[in-house]
Amino acid sequence: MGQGRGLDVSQSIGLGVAASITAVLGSMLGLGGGVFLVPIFTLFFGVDQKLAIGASAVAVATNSVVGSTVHLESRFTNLRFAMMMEVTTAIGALVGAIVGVWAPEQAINFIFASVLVYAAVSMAIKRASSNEFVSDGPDPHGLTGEFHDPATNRTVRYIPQRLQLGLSMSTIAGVMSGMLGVGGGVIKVPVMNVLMRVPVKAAAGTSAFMVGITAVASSSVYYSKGKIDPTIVVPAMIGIYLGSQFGSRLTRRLHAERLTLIFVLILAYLSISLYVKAFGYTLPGQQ
Amino acid sequence: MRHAANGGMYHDVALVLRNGFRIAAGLMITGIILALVRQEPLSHKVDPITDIPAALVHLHSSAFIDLAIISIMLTPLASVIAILRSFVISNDRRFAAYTLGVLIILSTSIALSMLR
Repeated sequence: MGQGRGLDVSQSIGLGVAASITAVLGSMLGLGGGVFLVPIFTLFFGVDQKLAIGASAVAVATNSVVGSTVHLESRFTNLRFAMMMEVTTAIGALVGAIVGVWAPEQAINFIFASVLVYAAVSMAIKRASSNEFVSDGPDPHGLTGEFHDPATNRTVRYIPQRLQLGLSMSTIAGVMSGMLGVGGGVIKVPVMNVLMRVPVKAAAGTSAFMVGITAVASSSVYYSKGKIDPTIVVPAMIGIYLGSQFGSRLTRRLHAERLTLIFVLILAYLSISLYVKAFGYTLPGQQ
Repeated sequence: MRHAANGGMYHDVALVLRNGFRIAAGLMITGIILALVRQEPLSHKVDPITDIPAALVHLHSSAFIDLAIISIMLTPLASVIAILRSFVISNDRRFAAYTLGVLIILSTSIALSMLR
């Protein structure tokens, strides 16, 4: 059996609370929370980076499994589109996870910090979601999606465009997901919405389902390399589950856009912390 | 015909995800209760998959928690199998091929973990 070095209850509770907070933040931003989990676990709890990434991958899978059922029932998820995109995404995740397991910690910190900067900039410029989707015309790949939008009380029909570009970008999202233990929604949703002209609700629903499948490819690699620590994974899973439940309810009541500046500052702080750590230093109060 | 088949597919996939989460949650709760009752510390390492059945027989809490983690990891895989089944039934060969491709990639990842 595995080694039992004793359970530090206070640390487990702390990890669970931190995971809950990341899930609440993720729900508000539609990111899933993975981008916050690894930096917070490593910077504030001193969790080994690879173990934090492994825990995040399992937590991302949990979040996807729980959250996708709602999107499936409302048909925001386009399963045909998801399966086509997932071919390249899963390959990317497998490659990313293998690279991530062996890559030096400094390199991972640097790449992670860059992804956080990308997320912060995306939010700061408040890139408008594209509503210019294509509803008629040729659909050689049979990817047409259709769902009822309760906000407008209309049926939305769309045909994803620019497949080759989307598949390429999705591969990059898969690599990032496998390497960093994040869901990759921060890349996939804008790619689907802005580049591929998929309505934002369908993009978010399809991405939420895809990240669970992508997490299988990456978490298996971390499992095989012994980078899954139950004392970290269990609080992360419970925290992410509870946080996403609370976050989705809270989001309906709050005007999340008003909180954008706070989230941008949090992301900027975490990215600076990781850049500093990549060069062998730590900011005050961090490990 | 395709819409009818797709409707079944969405229902099946949602059912798989819901049941997968229930199984994982049940196993995790069992593992945590066993750990508390038997005062076993949680393990810092997951066990190789081949060691888990014997540990389950001996009611080791870590085995239930390992199985919970594996269950949640495998649930999306089960949903892919459900999608593949739907595409095969509706004779949608192109998307059955895409889905099979995804399944092969995921199976490769899982085979790596089992060979540990």
